[in-house]
Amino acid sequence: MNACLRPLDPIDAEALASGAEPVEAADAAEHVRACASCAAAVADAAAFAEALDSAGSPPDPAPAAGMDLASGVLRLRPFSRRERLDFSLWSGPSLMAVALFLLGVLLLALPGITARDQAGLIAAALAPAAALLRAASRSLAELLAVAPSGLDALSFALRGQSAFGLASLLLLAPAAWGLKRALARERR
Amino acid sequence: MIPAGLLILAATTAAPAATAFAQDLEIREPRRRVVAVLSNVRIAARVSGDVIVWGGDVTLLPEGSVDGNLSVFGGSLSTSEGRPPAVGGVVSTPGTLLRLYLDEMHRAPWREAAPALLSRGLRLIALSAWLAVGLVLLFLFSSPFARAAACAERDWTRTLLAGTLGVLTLLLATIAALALLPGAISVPLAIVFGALAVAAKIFGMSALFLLLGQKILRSVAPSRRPAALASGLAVLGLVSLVPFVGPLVWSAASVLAVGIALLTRFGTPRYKIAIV
Repeated sequence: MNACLRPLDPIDAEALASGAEPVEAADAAEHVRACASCAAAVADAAAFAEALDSAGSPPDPAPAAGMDLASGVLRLRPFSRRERLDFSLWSGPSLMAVALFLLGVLLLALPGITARDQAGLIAAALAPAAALLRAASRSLAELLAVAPSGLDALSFALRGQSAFGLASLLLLAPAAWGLKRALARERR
Repeated sequence: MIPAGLLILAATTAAPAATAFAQDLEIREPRRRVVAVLSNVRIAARVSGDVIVWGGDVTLLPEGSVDGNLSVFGGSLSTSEGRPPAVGGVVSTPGTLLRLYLDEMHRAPWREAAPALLSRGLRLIALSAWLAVGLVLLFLFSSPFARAAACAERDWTRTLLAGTLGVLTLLLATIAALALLPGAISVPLAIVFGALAVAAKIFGMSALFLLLGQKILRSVAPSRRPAALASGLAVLGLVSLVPFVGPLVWSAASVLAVGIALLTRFGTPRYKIAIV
């Protein structure tokens, strides 16, 4: 219900809401100041205009899909031929690997090093380095040699524990199901 | 000679085998073979065949001897009064480099003045090997590693969950196969599972080093990948040298690494696009 005896024309309400001069009634501005219902009509018009403005304006700036795709492709791309052959890219990390190896060999040599050896640390470190390489190759050969018989023995011992095997089988089902779910969710 | 040989043969074949599971074992009478799992074994009598121990320590007492091979997986071997072990075959402790290194250097473990220094040295050499392997793999397969690192970064929790479940599944499958299937099937199957776990760890650790390094360098540019891999390894390697905490962190990283490898299927793309 409108309590005003001289209701404001909607065009004038919109004009006043936007800060322009009224079109129909020249004294519309004074009337609005005195009439609460017409002031409410101007406020409604202002709110409506603001809503229209925000609907028409561009959305908040967000990362552009094109930029994401480009950075993603850049991140995942393989090395170019130039990068693969660029010595400066690989020299630092390679030197770090060599430095770690030499430091490790030096630590191995330290407990057995004598006062005479200290004059030539590199020469003193050669024996541990050679021993280490021989030990590493022996370790690999040992593992390959004893793994089948060791596993066979483990199998022999475990076959005597059928409850243990059955419990493993029972637990395997939920573990495998959980793993399948975890991997499937990533694939989706 | 022949009757004596037959007597010895009869004696050795008559001796029963000894098997133990999760309980310590002491050999006081001659045995044909000893197999122990998650048990410590003390040998105080002659064993005519092999002694194979998983997850336990072996002590060879003065009156004990082994005619066959002595293999200790995930445990140590000690002899009383530090004398050389009386073993007719080969003594092996697979996976422990220190014993072989000291053997090569003609130094006895019990005479070592600074065993901590030795293990630190071996650890540093292992880290250098990790870096070398990682760089070679990155050189050959750069895109799969970058893809795996990016995937792990998106969801750490899921990667850790996949790693935990992956390790658990492989372990349970191996135990179930070894316990329930005949040796002819279970042993090759266990080797396949073990190889898969090792491959997943190597791939995943390299991807993890790369990811950590990319975070440290704040760059995912392909040209910074070698530096990122080295930086990631330096940080994780340094932490792994800290007593008590280091091994725990490295173990957690290994589980995460298996998760990265399984979740990304070793960095293979989700969709393959053919350009013609």
